Amino acid sequence: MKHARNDGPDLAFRLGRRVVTAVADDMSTTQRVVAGVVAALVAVSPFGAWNEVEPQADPLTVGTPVEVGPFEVTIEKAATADELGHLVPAPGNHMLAVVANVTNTGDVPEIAGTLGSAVPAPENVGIVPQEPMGSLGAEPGTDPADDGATPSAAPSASAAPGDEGGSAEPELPSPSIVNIKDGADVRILNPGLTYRVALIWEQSGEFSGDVIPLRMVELEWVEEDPLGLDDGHWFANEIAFEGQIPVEAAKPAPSTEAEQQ
Amino acid sequence: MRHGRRRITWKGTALVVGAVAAGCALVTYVPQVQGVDTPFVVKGAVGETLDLTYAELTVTDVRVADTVAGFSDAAAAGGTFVVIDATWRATQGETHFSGAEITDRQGRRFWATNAAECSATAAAQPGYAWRTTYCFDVPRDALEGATVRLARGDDDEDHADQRRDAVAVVDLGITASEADQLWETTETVSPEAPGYAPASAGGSEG
Repeated sequence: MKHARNDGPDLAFRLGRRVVTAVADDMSTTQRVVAGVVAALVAVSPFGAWNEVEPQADPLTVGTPVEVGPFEVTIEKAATADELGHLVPAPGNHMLAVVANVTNTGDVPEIAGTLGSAVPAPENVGIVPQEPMGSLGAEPGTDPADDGATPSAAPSASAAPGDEGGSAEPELPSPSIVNIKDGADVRILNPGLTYRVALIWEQSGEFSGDVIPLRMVELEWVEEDPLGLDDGHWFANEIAFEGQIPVEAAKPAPSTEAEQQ
Repeated sequence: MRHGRRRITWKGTALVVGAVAAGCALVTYVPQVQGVDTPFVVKGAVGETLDLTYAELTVTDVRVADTVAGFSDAAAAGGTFVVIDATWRATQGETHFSGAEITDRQGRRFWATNAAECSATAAAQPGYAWRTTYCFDVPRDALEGATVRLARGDDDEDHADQRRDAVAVVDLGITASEADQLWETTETVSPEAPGYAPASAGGSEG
């Protein structure tokens, strides 16, 4: 008795088996294994097997402490100001400050640059790029609003006008790090102490958004440098945290806590 | 005279393998690196002059302060500043003293600030006593039992620049009860700018 069934898939299976048998019959075991691996790799390609893996960053919010390398960082707020202590922007621009409480949770002091490498400049908000080394003598940039944002980057509600993007992406600067308690530059962060600091960048005056996209980078300890040139240092790895930080309105030249007392 | 190939014997093979194994064991288990890399630590107390061969060092005073105020700027402590006055006398030649750090009982290390006339490093010509003030921002629980480590070698991550060299470790003499008192201190200290030490501090005013 013949069972009712769909011949389509069965036919395809038998055809496929015949092709495989015809090809594989003359192969050695090694060749069969290699052919199987190649076939498997081809089979998973349509499902995004070769797409770049994008690590999922954890959310970064105001008031929630996060750990990056030897630091525990709690973002307090972001604010703009016409000038901050000895940091004076170019005419038409202002300073953007991200205020954070930072604790060195390790056993040894860390230089401020390590903290700076964990907090890259926010993109697409008109951060004034740093002058390339090769063009120090050249005419200063005519478009301070251009922070070299990539067109593919996530659109920001606060993207600065005029962000067209050039052929070469200028590098955004590391933040200036100032101790809010005394208005002085932070040089080192000793262990066990919490510093209330401002991470400061110069920003285009055309920026008028009320949030900035802030990211924090995972710091990985490199005990032995592969090239043997710089053993024992923190390496800025991948984005570990990101979030939208509200920006307070510009205030005229705020004073430090020390000056207020 | 014999010609031809030499035979490889079991005895010879065992000799070579044994020699290689013994060499590996020596390199692996004998702590030769540690033996020659550690610095020569000279311990002392506040007021005592320590001989480091390349210099004589005296820690003359230890204070604490909430704020250190210099000629043109001031620095506010995140914890409290341990302010250490010291006098260096180079004995062999012009010497740069790059290492300055406090170590607490937990083994945590603290570096000095160079704000407000405080020094993180010092340099001295031979034959003169050079006075300098170090200011360390430390948390409350670092005060008790703290020591200061001063040397010409840099105080980087693993003290690499202090290997095979003399370093001074001075007990600051802070007890538990003193630590509580010192923490409550709300004093502003104005460190003197580095300079030639007066006779009272072991110098001759140049």
